[in-house]
Amino acid sequence: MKSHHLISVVAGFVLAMCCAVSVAMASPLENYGLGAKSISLAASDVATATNYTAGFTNPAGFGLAKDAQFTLGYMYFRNSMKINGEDAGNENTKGVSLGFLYPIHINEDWTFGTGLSLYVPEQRVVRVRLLSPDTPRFLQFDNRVHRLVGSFTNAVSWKGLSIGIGLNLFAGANGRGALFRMSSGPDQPDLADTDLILSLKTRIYPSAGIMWQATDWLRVGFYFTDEVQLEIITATDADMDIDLGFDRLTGYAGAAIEAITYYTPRIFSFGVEAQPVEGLTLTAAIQYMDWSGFPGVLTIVTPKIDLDMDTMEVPIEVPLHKYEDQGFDYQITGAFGVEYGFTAVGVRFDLRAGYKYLPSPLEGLSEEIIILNKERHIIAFGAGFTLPPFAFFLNNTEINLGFQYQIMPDGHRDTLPQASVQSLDYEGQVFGGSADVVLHF
Amino acid sequence: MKRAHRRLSVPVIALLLCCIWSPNATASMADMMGLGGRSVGMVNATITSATGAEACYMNPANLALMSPGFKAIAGYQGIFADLDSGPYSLDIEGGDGVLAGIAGMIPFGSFLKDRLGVGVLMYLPAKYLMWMHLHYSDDPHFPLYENRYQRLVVRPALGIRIYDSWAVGVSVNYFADLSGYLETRGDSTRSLAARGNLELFSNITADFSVTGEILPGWKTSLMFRMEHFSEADFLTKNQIADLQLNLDIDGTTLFEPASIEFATSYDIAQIGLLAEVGFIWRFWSEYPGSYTILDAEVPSGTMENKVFTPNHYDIGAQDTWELKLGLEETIGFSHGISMMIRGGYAYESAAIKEQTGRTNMLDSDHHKFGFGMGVSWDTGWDLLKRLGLDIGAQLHYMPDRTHTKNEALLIDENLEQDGVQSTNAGYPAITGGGMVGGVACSVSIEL
Repeated sequence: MKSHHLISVVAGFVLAMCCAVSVAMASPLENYGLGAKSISLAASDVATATNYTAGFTNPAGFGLAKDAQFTLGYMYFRNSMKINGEDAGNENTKGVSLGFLYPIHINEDWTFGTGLSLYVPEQRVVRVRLLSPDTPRFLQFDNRVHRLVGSFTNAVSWKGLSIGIGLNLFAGANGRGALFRMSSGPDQPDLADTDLILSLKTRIYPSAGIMWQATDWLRVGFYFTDEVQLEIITATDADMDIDLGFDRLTGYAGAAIEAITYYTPRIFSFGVEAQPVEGLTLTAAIQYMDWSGFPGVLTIVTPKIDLDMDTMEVPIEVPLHKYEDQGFDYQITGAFGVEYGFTAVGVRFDLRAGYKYLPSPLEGLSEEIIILNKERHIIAFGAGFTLPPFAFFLNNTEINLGFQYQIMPDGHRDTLPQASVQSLDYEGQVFGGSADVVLHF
Repeated sequence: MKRAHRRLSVPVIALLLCCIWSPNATASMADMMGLGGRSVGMVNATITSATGAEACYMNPANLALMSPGFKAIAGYQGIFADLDSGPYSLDIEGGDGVLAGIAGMIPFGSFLKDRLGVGVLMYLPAKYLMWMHLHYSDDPHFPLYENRYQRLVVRPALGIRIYDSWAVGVSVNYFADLSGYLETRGDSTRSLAARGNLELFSNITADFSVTGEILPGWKTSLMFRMEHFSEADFLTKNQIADLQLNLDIDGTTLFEPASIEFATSYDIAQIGLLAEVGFIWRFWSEYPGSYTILDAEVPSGTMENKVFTPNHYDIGAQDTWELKLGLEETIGFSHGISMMIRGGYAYESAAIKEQTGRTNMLDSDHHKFGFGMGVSWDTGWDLLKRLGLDIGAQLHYMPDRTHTKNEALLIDENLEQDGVQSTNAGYPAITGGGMVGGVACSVSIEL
């Protein structure tokens, strides 16, 4: 009986290396937006952004920029999620945002815009958190807040019609994984050794957008980005030759592991910007996110086991999780914003506010996998100040502040009868903001 | 026109600052071969003369001595290897990639006018952003070549002109450590489940330099590069019923030692010849080796688990010195066209002593040869002032070196037989050597 357990634990080790994975569901920018201006408009700026934010909301915005810009900003959001009244342990979002945009005005009609947009999380570049299926997790606030995001964007505009393409750099994890060799016994020295190969594979995904300045007061925008799915593909093999005292264990146990570690759905966005009166700007955006293509949060594990005992054969049975329909469906979000600007004492002031509604992408609930998610209401506000040239700054300097308050209504779900907690009441609130400085040249 | 220059310099500032926190090289293609056709062709003997984005790695102080406007570079380069040690040979994993960079003076006014130069140089590997390999302790391999170049490089840099033609510079090196844990157990569905955390943590170092012109045409530079490396630390805890299997893996990958570099060059303008001599001291003695340290606790069949003692080996790493010479002859033609012929040679001592114990890290003296050519065209246009094309090739030759094992340092794997019984691949002796080559092609523009 003891040897049965022994082989199970050895085989189980390699099989269970990644039996469950909590996926990095997109980037923090899809949770909050990028840049103080976009955040204060509740990310309704699909037809508005002509700054570095456009790298993620609509690359075509680079083609309609009037001047070159460099932006440095900081973002902080407190993610307060609770389960049965207790803090769920979701980390806060902290990071630096950077960008530059450089438009080349070829002539009166044609402009070429190029630039970079970057968000770098403060705590860690990437985190992949692994959870067992029965561990409750807030899908969109788990790994999602820890992700380096970068985009290289180019756009061409002609008489107010701009077309842009963004190239987004990602890393997929793969590699041969770990080989272990362990031997021990009275006639040989102890040996425990590892050979490890891990790699981050280069992956580049495009996005595209169109922005059209239809009239002096109306602009429309369309944005598309394809599904991004990053995986971890690796394997673990343990070679063993261990004298157990009462028997000798030889052979190997291993597993090939494949899982989705990062997923962003296919997204279509449509936005409008209108300026009905001098100084007043209205923005609106609607977004279709196709979560139905998401294969799920579990791994595929292919076991390789060949273990022998000198004196007995022991069957190996390690129950494994399998994929199931986890209930993901499409999601349609709506957002609108308002901006009012005026000039006083030589400084340009812009006051901004916005609202966004995000329904949950989960249509049904998996019995085994405890995913907690509900619709969210996002209330946003902010301000901008544009200063004239001073000191060694030769051009205007812009300072933006943006804040958001996100509310996830109370939710409830039941778990399996054998789980330690059968009933889960959950709720979530997010509050935070961003500040950035924009140098114009 | 002045304003145009200022506007053109904007992306230079932005690119620099955009990348300060981005994943960067630890050891990298830049450390091994250099980046760009000119540096590769001169075996990196371009510390005093590197300009534009190439200066971001070679010597950031040079950024502050650039003329107004900005310079951009883009190209392709790769490496190949023919290294072997008997039955073992080195495979190059992900040995090619694309480089791009931009650099220029920041268009500030007042007391900062024409004082700050910035830039960023990037190398994007075609196959892997990062590739890490930690070996079994007795695996024969070439640590100075196998796992030093498979890394995304984003090297932002800043130069500050402090007086006349003297400047100081700093280049930021940002990279990541891998850390994490996995814990497995039976879950509420009676299946085996895992939970854990895998993270890439930020890690920052910097390189510093000072450069200046002592006499017209005679430049000298001093550079200090901080040690940088990536660590992998991974812990697994596994429990089924009352039995445990715990493995703690620890190792250092992509190591690059601290170094002090001194170079001086003389530009004999009358004959178009630039000659640079450089000396580098690299602190390889700090290298911990590319094998894993495994702390294992496994079932023993009794109530007490079997605990393996972590393995630590003296790999015999030692400091190295390198002496290098680079030459560039410029031949002028009509219509602003110039052709450059380049070459170089460098000698670097071995970083690893004779492998007499368990480890088989193979290294010997390095003879580095470089050759390259370039063409540039001064267009005379306002926007595009200069267009250039550079190609370079570099060959590293490591003579065969034999490592003879000391039986007293090996583990006798069968105590019941007389003499030392060892399956160590390097027993009784192992010989390693060979060649590694690299090529680079880059185009540059000056605006």
